[in-house]
Amino acid sequence: MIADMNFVGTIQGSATSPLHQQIFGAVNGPTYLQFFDARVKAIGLSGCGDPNAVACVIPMMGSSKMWITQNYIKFSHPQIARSMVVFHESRHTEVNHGNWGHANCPTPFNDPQGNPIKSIWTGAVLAGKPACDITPFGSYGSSLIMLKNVSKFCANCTDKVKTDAGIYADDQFKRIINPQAVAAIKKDLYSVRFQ
Amino acid sequence: MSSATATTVEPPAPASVQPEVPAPMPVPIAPSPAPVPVSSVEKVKMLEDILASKNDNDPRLDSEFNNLTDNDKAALQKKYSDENREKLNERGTIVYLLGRTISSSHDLVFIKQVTEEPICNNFENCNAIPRDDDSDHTGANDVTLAYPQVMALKSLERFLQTNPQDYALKQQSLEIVNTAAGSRNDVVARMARQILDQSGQN
Repeated sequence: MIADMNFVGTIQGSATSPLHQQIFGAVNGPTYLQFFDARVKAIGLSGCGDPNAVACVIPMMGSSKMWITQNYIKFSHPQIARSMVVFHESRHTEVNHGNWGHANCPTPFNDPQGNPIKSIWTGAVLAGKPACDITPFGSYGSSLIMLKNVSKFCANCTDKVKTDAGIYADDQFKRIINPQAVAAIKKDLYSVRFQ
Repeated sequence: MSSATATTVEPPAPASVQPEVPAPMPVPIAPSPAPVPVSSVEKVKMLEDILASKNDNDPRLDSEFNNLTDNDKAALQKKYSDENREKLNERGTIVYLLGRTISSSHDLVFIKQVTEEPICNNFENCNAIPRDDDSDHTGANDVTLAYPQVMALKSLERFLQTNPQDYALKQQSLEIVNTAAGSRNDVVARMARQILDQSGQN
């Protein structure tokens, strides 16, 4: 995780979207580290109660503490995906925003093609589960906005990092279910097609 | 009463005289030696080092794997096959590198094989029963478990966006995407359908 945060700390952006400016500030490493350090005061090791979890925040055990699992090292996630999870979790430390708790996904919960969105391997549909956001500023929204900005504007990232950032951001976008929030993010980041 | 003060002006000290040294003859600058081609074996070794570091931002990923020769491609494809299926980022990175320059039907054969592989079920053992998952992180996990396939589709998407003039390659690419659109894996199927939409094929 230290290496990943070191990487994040080196990011240099050529521009910043308005929503990113609002949440984090500019697209650059010091901004991201400051964002993280302002929220996460301690890091511990835990299973997070989920065999597939990489990291978590357990408000009952301290809202400013982030727990990392052994999966962080064991599982073969791309680096930017690991970083995304860390920043997603860091948003959950914000007590003054109710830890940015997730909204229940709607029922039915379908992709734009009308197919139900579900957990790939369990087959369980996400409809009705607390796995969505109704705001661009929650954990899904903020982390997708961060990654999409990295994808678009990182000036010193490899193409792989930027490609990965775009892929994971686009996937997270499915979790934003409020039409106004979707419109705001589209306007902020998706109004011009890019690679 | 003022008194004049004699001021003795001493002659300037003689400049130290150095024997005149002729200007050195300009030494012709030897041209920089042509870069030594990195062998395929060395490229695979370099990639192994990068992957072991878990640093996806290693600039060599952008500079050292361009203009891959047929031998390079064969070596990387073998590396892909040799990697355990659970090495998702590692395998996906190889697909990414190979997919950057699709220039022949043979390139697409590899991409097709990747998209048709069974998706990994479990981070610890791809063949094991899938584990239940906290729905909070399902999305990222889903993408990573299909990461080699996602990278294969991404390569095809980029290739199609270049509006390839080779009709056969374009059609071959679209066929692969079309097959992937019927995948039982939602991540793969959804991404393939989006590519077909973008290509005006849906």
